Amino acid sequence: MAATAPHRRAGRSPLRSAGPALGRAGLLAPGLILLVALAFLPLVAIVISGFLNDRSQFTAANFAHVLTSGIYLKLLGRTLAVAFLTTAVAIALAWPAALALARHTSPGSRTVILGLVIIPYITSQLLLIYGFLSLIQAGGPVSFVLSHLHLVDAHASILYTPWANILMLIYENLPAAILIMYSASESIDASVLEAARTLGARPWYVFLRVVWPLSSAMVVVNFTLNFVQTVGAFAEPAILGGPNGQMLGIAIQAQLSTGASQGFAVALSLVLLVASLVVVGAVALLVSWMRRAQAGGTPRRIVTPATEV
Amino acid sequence: MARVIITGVSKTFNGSTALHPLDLAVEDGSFCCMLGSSGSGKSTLLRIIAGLSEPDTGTVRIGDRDVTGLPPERRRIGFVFQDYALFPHLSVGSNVTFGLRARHVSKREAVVKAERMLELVGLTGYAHRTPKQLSGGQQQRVALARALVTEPDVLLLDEPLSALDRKIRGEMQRELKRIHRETGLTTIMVTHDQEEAMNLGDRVLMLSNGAVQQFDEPERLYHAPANEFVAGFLGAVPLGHGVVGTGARGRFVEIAGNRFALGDSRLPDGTEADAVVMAERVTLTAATARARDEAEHEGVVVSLDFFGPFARAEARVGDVSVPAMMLSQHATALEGGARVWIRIATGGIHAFADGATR
Repeated sequence: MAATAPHRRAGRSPLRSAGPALGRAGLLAPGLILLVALAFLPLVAIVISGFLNDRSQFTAANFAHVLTSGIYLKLLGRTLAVAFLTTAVAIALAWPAALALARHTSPGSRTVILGLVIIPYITSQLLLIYGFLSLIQAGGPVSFVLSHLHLVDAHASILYTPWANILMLIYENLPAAILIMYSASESIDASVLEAARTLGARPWYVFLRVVWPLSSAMVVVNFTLNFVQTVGAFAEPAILGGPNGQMLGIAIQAQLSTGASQGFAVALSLVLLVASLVVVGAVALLVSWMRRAQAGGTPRRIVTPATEV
Repeated sequence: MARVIITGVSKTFNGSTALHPLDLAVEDGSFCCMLGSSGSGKSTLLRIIAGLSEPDTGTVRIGDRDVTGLPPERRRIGFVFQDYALFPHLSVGSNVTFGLRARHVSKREAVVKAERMLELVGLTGYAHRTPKQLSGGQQQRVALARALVTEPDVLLLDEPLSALDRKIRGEMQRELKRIHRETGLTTIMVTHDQEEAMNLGDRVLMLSNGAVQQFDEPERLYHAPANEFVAGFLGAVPLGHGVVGTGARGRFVEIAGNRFALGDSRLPDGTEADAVVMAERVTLTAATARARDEAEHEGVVVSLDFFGPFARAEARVGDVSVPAMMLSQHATALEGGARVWIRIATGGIHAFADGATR
């Protein structure tokens, strides 16, 4: 018996080590196949089509057109600015709510509130937009209340201005921002915040030196998710924004739907994609630099394992 | 450095009383341990002193300042948490300088002070590590250094050693004693471990159900427990219900026909009382070894438990069960069912009148 045991173990060991590898491959494969088939390949096709003109000749003319056109660059700038503003404001509004939810709410009401937060998230986007439209249009509830308070003229409305679009985008960004900042707030130990107070830190100092650095990674995640989504918005500006509230997504959609120049539309969206990545990367770098600066430089790594006292 | 004076402090949470109105004075430079089981109100009281919780009534004074209503950052306290509560994003050094930087001490000065404080807790050269790289004991030392570096008026410790394993706990107890001696800081520590409280405290505040049971020196607490609860918490075991009397050899309590000698008891003869016995003051001798002494009871060993250095036996005297704690080398002569002579040292039994206990 004793003699056969090592044999058996030796015979099984390759299988054992292959098991996890196979399992890993099996788990990763569906995702990888989907990613390659539905995201990576189309992207390659799009990039190629961006470099083709109407007669299917290879050219960089589409990109040259985008980058030299004042109108499109202005639209790109506005799109990035609107996306940045609405994302940042949504996070700023969501954070206090998330902190309150994580720290000062009973578990029961917390579940209810989080449920309510998710409702707009799972409601049809067009429904939300038209709901918002009917709310803010001239003669709608908001204008009715404000005009009766003699704050505005009866026919005044922010509908068809950039502000309607911006408010809508902030509103749409809020649920995800609250959920993400809630999980960030919940992951900070209450005793760590109390410790900071007992050490003489006022609430604002605690926020800057403890809450912010411990949440900043999640802020970047939050920013990335919301910003990338907002940059591509076209229904909101098209329905609510009016002539001065347009964003690049509308131009891309217009180019594609008229069939005028697919290559140009692709060039527009690729420029937008790269510009968005630059913004996201810059924000991520800035935040991690701030965090390192606060921690008092990267701690020197000491190889000796921590010894018991 | 300052004394801490608490007057009429009480607290309720959602209608249930966490603390009945209580007064407490902790002398300047003393080490006070607040002892009790969970839910006794000891942590609530400590958090009220720290300003992490507001009392419903009463005042808290630290030194000559009334700090009631002040937020924790304005109370000049040092607080050490059970789970260390180190800032995970900061190096050990930055953890220790945090309180100084929050009080606008220059960075250079803060670093110098932090180094000195890390030296005091035996962590010289650890400033650049992150908390995660340290063991539990080391993390608690950092937490201690972080609390001490701001030179607080009073040091508050909330079960600082209970997350550590036994061996390190003993070491940290000696550390705390040394640091208290060297700094002379008024210290208040919450613990549920009576040995820890006895070892560290100049005085021990025994709490139960949000009320003070006894506030005394450790020796007094042990030798003269104020009530059955205190005695029980410190390890005394119920002996039974009986009547106090006086006989030829002094005071006794008679339980189920057996008379057990009582040390000094203020209870008058004829008082019905609950008696408790301290197992470590009971000695068992095998009946085969020698003849019975007059002061000894005759009994039978019912059970014997072995705990390494210690052993615990349960003997029966008539219908009364008497526990005995001994060094295990003294248990070798005993066995279950054996006849034994039971000697209970003077002061090994306390009697408490009915209704006087919680």
